[in-house]
Amino acid sequence: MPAHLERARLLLATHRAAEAEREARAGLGEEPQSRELLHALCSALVEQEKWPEARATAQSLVALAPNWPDSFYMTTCVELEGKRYKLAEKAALEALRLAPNLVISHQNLAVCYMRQEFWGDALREAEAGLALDPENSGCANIRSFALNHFGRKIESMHSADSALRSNPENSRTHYTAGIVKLENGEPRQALEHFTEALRLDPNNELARKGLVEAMKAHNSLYRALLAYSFWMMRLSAGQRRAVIIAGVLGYNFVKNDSGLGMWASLICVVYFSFVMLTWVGSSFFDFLLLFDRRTRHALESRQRAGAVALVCCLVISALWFVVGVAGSVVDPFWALPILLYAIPLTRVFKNRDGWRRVTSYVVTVSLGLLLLGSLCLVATQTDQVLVLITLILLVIYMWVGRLLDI
Amino acid sequence: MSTAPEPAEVAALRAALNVSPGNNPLRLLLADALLKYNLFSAATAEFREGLRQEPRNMQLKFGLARAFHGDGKNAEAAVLLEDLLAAGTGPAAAHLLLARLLCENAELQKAAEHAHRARALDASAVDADLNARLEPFLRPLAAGDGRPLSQTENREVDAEGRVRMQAGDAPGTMETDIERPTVNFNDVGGMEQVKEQIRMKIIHPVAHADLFKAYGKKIGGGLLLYGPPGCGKTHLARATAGEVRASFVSIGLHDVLDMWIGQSEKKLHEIFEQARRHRPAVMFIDEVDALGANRADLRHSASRNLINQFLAEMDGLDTTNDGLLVLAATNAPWHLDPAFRRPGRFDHLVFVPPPDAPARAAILRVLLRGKPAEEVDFAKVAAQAEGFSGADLKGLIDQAIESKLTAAMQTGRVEPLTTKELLAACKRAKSTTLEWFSTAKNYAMYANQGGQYDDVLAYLKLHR
Repeated sequence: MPAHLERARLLLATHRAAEAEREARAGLGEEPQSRELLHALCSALVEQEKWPEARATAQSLVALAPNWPDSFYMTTCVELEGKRYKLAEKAALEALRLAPNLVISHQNLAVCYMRQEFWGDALREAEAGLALDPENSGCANIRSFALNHFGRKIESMHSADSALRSNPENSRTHYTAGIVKLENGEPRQALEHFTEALRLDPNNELARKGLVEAMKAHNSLYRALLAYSFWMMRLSAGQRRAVIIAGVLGYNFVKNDSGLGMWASLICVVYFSFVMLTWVGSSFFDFLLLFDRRTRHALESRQRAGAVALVCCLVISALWFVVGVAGSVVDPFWALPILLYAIPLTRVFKNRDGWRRVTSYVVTVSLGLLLLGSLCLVATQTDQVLVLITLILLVIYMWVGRLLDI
Repeated sequence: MSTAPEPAEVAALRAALNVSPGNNPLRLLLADALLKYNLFSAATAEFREGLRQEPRNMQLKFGLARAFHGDGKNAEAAVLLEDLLAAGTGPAAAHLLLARLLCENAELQKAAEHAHRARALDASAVDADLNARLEPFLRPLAAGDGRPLSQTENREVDAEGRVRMQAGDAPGTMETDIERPTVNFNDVGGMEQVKEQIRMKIIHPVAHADLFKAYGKKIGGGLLLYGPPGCGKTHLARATAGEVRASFVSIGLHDVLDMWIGQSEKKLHEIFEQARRHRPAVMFIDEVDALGANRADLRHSASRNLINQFLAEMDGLDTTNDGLLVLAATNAPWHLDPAFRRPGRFDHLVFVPPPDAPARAAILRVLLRGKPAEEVDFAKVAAQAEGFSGADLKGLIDQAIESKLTAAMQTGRVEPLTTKELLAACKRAKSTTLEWFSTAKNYAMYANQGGQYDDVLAYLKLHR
């Protein structure tokens, strides 16, 4: 094996991606047509998360070695990272065509389907991979997720347990087992698995998030919320919208025309509280975790900031209400828009991607300025129209924001 | 003329040899026995016969040289030894014998060279009389004493005050340079806590060896320095060797990679042997996680063999490691094979954090030495550069200089650097330790069951 290639591979194996990149490039200077060196270079770029370069290198690799499955495995990896799922799927299919008897071909394709939430296809490919290698943890994990999605909980747990028996020292396997346990209402066991996943790979971000969720799920109220979230996640995007719209229509019906009398008010309050909880529950329970030494540092800084922002909003709303009830200085009813403002405020700390994040910022800042101005007018008893408009906008945001997921 | 009877030992060996005349190892034993009894002519005959059968046998050649020397045939002995050593594969004793012969021939400079070589190969290869005669040529050079460097004395001093002896041409030895660092802890700014840990674990046991031995404690062992890149781990290791006045053998990443590619457990063993020959010695392995990578991460069985060899060397299974201190440095202790952390190997971990404020000020002072600067408030700049490594501080200075150069090229004058410019460069520069700490924090939070990363938690002001 040429020296540069061997050194590059050794450097990759010992987590020295930058040096591996240099070695691979030096090797390519001498052997520009070496697919192995190009593959090593691409691996080094992927490990350093230099995605644009990695993508270009993967394309060069495919051009150089169009009949080599590894070219397409690398392309799949790069495209998945860029969330170009269709391109990743195409590359994975080509790899499968070239190497149908390699389990990794099926595993890669299963991952592509899983990311696109094509659970049936993901399950099929995972099982095809397991038929070739029953101990492949990647396929076992995907199978477990897919079965769980279809509500085949017992099979899902068996699949996760089987993967653990084969690969007890695998962080992802523990993560998968943790998710399955969490979704099936076993937070204590889920916590053990997430803890073990993090012990094996402290950089496993998914496991860290799972740990936080498992801690929050010790609370039965949060567990109920989580169950609802998992149920919603199993629905398609269209089905989710339908549930939300049905909820809004049902709420309006009960409030206005149902003839349920005082039960209507109770149902409306419960429904309204439930909706608020779906928006701000996670941040609220994040706040509770701030008091636990184990999980305080597991929270990301934005989670901590969101939690603190939420509680500030709740406290101000409560204070307004109490002051309003105690004296006649302010109308306690206007504590409601302050309470509702918690929704866009916490959302700002959750949204990460592109346009959603920008929209969230713009909406939150605009509504915040509007709220501040309107409350000043209310406090000075100058005007109440603006605060009413703000309240209406906040209510609209509750529904529209949920539909658009912003 | 009657000949004296041979000693019984010789007779027995001769009788055995008569039965198997082609047995050269037996012939060598006989010849050595003849030398022992000063029967030089008979020894010469046996060595010649052995060389007739095995012309390249070095032991026979050396033996013949000894026989010549004993017989007063110094010229023949010297020629034979020079021929033997010219191939670069002679033993220490051969160098020493040649040094004596050259000394008798008044070739003192060359004699000193060979005496050095003998000592380099084997620290016990010392002839007190010879040393006394060659004393003026054997006195070591140190930086700054005004004497010219002499390559023929096999020592050179580099810009950092390291005295380096070049590896000898002993048979089968890896070409590894042995250093005698002249830096010590006084040359390491700040890091008082780290230095104290090293004193307790490494330096005091060497300085009070008898005390430790009385309690059955071995002198030696391993110490692993870990921390963000560019924070002085290598410099600290060198200073440790300087503190204990030990030889310093350094293995870098490329040496390790070469070993991997050559699958050279033998090379690794030779490096350890060379260090053992120069005890007390500090062996420093930089980026040790490349050598001691988790065997679960490596696919080749040959790689595992190299790691197994390294572990065996650390344990000193075939030889003792008394007086051998192994220091290692890594930015990623979590990638090290767990076997490396077992007692007797790298069971002492020392966290080398980024320099504290006084150390940063000292580093800045050193970096700005010789450069135009106008009454810089080092403390203020150091305070702004929280978390910066030594390498980051160098980068900061370079940035400030570049800006200054751009201005100087326009004015055509050398303008001194000011505190304000350094502070501005500080704002632009980024610390490279942040990324390391974000990874280290995860390991310290979630994979710290044994408490090995408690120092990281303490530095980050986190608590378990």
